Amino acid sequence: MKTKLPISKDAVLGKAQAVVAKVRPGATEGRRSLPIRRPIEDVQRLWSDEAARAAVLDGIAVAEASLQLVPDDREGAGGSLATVELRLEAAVPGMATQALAGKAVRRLKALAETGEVPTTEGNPAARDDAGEETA
Amino acid sequence: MRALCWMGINDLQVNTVPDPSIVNPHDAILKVRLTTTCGSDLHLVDGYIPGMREGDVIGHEYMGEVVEAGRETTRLKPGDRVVVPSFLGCGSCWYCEHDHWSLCDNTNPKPELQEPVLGYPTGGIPGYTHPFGGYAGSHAEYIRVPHADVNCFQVPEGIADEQALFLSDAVPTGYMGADFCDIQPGDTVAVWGCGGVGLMAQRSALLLGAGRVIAIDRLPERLALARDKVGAETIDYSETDSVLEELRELTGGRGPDACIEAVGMEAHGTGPQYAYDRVKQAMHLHSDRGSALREAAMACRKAGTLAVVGVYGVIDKFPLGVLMNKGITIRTSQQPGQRYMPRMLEHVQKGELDPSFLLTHRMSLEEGPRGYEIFKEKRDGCVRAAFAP
Repeated sequence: MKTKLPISKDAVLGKAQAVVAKVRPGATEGRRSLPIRRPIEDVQRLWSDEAARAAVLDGIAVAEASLQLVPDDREGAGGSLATVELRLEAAVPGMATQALAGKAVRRLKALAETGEVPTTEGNPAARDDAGEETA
Repeated sequence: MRALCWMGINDLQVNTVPDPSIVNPHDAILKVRLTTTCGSDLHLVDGYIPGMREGDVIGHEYMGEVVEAGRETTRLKPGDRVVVPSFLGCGSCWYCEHDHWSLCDNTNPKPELQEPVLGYPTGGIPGYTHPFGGYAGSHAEYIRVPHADVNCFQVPEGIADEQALFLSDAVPTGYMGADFCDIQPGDTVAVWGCGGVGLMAQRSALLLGAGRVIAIDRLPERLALARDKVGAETIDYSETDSVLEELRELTGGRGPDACIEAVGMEAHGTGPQYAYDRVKQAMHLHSDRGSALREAAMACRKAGTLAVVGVYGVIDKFPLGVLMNKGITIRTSQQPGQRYMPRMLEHVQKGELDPSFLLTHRMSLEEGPRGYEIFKEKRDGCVRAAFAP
């Protein structure tokens, strides 16, 4: 017995196409914000330091990176709200640009709050790339 | 050095790997003295929690001896005997300052792998997948501990390695579960699971003032530990038609004031719901077998508290309506061991808490794969296997 579907094949295809059309194309620009428990001047000083900035952007193919800082009293007196904005060298899919901007602003926060960026550099493992920082 | 490595699903091997070294100025290198299996490791071994890479060193519950301290550490020196809570804190972010150490903002090197699932990343933990940081684990001769000043706790004279070991994870996880229950003197607390964490949750509930603790499991040797070592009453769920009915009768029809779920995503059980969960999980159509969690939610009295300390992925069929309609408070977290460490050390020193009975199988690191096999299959009365590298 042939079963008649309650919806036509063309209708299903149309729906699928509509969903696919909503998927964001690759982007080169993204931004992320985080509170940092350090005064604006300290965070700005880190961002201006070549070595510190290199640590924050390590492994991210960045054409341009900028930092905006505004006061954030919720994190305690003198805290900052930092926004890192990235323009990448090439487009990456979906929300990946935001994820990379998030990685950068988290590294900046860690560096400002603790004096170091968390890393798996030197990590022991039983594979050829043991010791390399891996994303 | 030698290390126990995850080489694939259900494939653990002891391999030679590079030694760790100081990378950041607040690091310390420990020689691992004891490191133990944890039930949550089985989710990685079995492949239900993704994010492992072939060759990763596993293990996150350990204690050891400082062999080298980074130049900006101030509280540690070589030779110090220390225990380290599994989740790493930085001691500086808002979460650490508010004692939510496992939620640290600054210790997970790979937050972008966790954000798509959790929204916001947790702190890092060694030996427990790349989304949780990718740090090499403790089943090795040496381990690097970031932010060592705030994560390494000196083990006082008189506390044995076997006692200190479990203050790394099993005790603080169980203690946190009991703490979450806001226990009033005389309360009845039911605990699902008599593994390391469950037994410690039971003991902690009594320490925090519970009048009765009722432990639920199916393994006779573990139920015996709950009775003999903890002082709990027990229910063997495989010998009863309904745990719910048993608990109702044991509490005069009222139900336990608080329930602690210390089983997690690979719960065993009976009946059709368990069969459904088991099949669906085996086919990777969902990540969790949640029968213990659902049963605990049903059993809890109205306006009671449900503390979830078992490890879960993204469970489906979560009984929110049961909790909502009965006005149950649910509390859960990964354990912030740094919050509880001073209290736990004091309990051990006073003789009120001795977790060393959890160590049923002491082995060399080379015996690691066999240790996990015995632990996973719960053979030979195994509660925990621990390795002395």
